[in-house]
Amino acid sequence: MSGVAAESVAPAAIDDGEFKSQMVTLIPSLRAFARSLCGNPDMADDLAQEAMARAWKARGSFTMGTNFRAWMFMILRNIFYTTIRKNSRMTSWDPEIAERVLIEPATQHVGIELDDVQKALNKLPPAQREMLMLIAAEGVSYEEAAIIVGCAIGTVKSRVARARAALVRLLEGEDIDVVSNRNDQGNQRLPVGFGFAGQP
Amino acid sequence: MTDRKKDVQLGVTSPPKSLHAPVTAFDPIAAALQQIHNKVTDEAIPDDFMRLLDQFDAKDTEQ
Repeated sequence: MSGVAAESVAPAAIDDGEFKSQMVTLIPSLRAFARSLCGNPDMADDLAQEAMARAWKARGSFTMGTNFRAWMFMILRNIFYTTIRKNSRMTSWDPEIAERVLIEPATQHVGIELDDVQKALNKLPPAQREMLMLIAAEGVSYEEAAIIVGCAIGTVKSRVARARAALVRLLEGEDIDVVSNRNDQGNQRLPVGFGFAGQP
Repeated sequence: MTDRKKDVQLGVTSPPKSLHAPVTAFDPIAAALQQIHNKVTDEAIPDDFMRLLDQFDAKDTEQ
């Protein structure tokens, strides 16, 4: 095989500087996505940083020209779900305590309606919450969301629809049993004692 | 004077495209979700993140 042919086949590796630059640009979105998954701002930042560290280590496997955002979001959510699976084996899940952990402190100044939406959002399972935030807030396409989550586009659409319906019901004051409503992969709620990067 | 300029002066040009755009219904839930998202993305990036990026370089240099 000639050198030219070999070059045309091999995927282009991303330059370290460019990789870091793209990562910096993505930090706000990573923080927002992490917060939509775990709810707690400090834990979300730990999660985002852990994702960045792992992405940096694995940067050789990233192919330039492919979707960097989707790749980073995949790493982040993999860390999140792996951690909660690991932690859920060690701790029992208490909905009441978890609710107190999940909901943002009331001291934060937000509009009442926005606060209601935030609280309702935090009551949804992460798999539904992440879909809503990816599609409605981050502006990710159904196709991109399917790549990030690792499921079919149809699943993304139905999960968004279910999440939205659940959110509406919560906003209307209905008490949805989100725990028994787990029919999507990765629907675990945040367990007590959840943490990253050396946190208990 | 070009035809386009003449048209503008005579007021015979078609209205801006935005006026013809379909009116989409306001979705309060989507708007709220976007606000929640923007609240985070508009925050200043904590210094920890920049320190982490500096550590990447330092670790590479050590290796």
